[in-house]
Amino acid sequence: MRFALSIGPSAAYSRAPSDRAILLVFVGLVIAFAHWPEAGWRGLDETVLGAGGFGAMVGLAIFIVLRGADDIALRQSDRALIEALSVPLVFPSRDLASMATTLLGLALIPRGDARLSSVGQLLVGLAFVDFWAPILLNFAAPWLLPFEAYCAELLLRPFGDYGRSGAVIAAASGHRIVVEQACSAFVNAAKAALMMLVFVKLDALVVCKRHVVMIAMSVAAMFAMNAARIALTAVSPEFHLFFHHGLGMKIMPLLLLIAIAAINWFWPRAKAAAA
Amino acid sequence: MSFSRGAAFSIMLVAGLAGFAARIGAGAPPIPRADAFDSGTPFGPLVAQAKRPRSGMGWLFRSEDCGDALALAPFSILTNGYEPLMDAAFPAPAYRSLVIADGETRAAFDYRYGYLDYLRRRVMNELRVFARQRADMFFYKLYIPASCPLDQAAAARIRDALNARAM
Repeated sequence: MRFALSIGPSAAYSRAPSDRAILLVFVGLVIAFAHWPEAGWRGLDETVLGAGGFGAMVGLAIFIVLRGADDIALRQSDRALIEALSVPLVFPSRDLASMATTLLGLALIPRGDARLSSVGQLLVGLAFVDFWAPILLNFAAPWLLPFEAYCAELLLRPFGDYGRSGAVIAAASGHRIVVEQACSAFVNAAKAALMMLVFVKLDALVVCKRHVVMIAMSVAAMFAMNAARIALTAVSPEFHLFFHHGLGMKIMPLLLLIAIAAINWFWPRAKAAAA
Repeated sequence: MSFSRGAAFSIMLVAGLAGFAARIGAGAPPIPRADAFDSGTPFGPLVAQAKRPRSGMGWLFRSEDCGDALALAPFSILTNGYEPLMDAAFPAPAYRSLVIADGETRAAFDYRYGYLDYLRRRVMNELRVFARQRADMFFYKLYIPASCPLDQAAAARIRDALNARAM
């Protein structure tokens, strides 16, 4: 069975699809299926639209990484893996699509071709944000949430009398908040790292020490801003309303974007100036 | 064994088209309906009250033996944050608590075991293409005044009433 469908100028007259076409179509399928909107399926505290945006961002980054890569060559084992991973896609399951994303990503990361390796890193990053991070968070929550509450309490100490018990922060006024999984910086830190990885991949295919520092800085910025937001919600019911349900909730992602853009802009220049 | 580009592409396309068809056919799974107890609704040996607990979570009930002080709250297996708030609002030893999870009464809920069980159910649901049930995601905790003589038979009737609501 042969196909006339192809992607890429050099394959225009080829009767078999190119390896790049196979990879792009498969990546498109797993990203689309992993972000297929299923209201209510993932629980009450996950925003499908937010995850869909990250899927689109990573898909676009992979498309840019592979643009003009007509000479990309998949191994026989890659094609076998893609064939095997295609079968579970028949199930209407986002989890299976995320697992397929993970396996293909892990298979591509060790490749010598920096383009394939980059595609693998982006796929694993996306699967981590979508699927593995929430699972890990559920196991880490018993110690991570009290730690995040502790960080928020540290920020509050100079401003008044606040107490903490586990993940609960109590103000002297009687106002109490609890840090739950949805408030945790863990998944959002993974998203921040993925955003920075996308920025890095658009700049250079090979990740070096400077890029690792930039990713670590974006994760740290996410944790710091989230601790500040938790602290602000603990001040009073009015602050809680503003920073948990109101405009304050929109300000935080905007601040994170600004922070990531600032790190991406200033850090390489600061290093260059220091050198 | 040779894995040609054509074979990989054809399997991928067929699976992709079948996957799209399955997703469109499956639609969105039903969202478990929100809990609601109208005032005066009998619930096992209890009767629902109009007012809510101070913590804002769950519902207050009264019984002939315990007055207005019993509270029942649902907690997500995935997000264990609100339980400490309710525990603070109904502290021991003034209150004792009873957990109703997966149709059974227990002394406490083990989140880690509960989450592993949730993952098991999720895998089974994926394989059988079943929608998730409310009991897959939530457990209930009943706060009983220490002075309240709520016995095991009454607790079993509350459990049965919860099961009958098919939440």
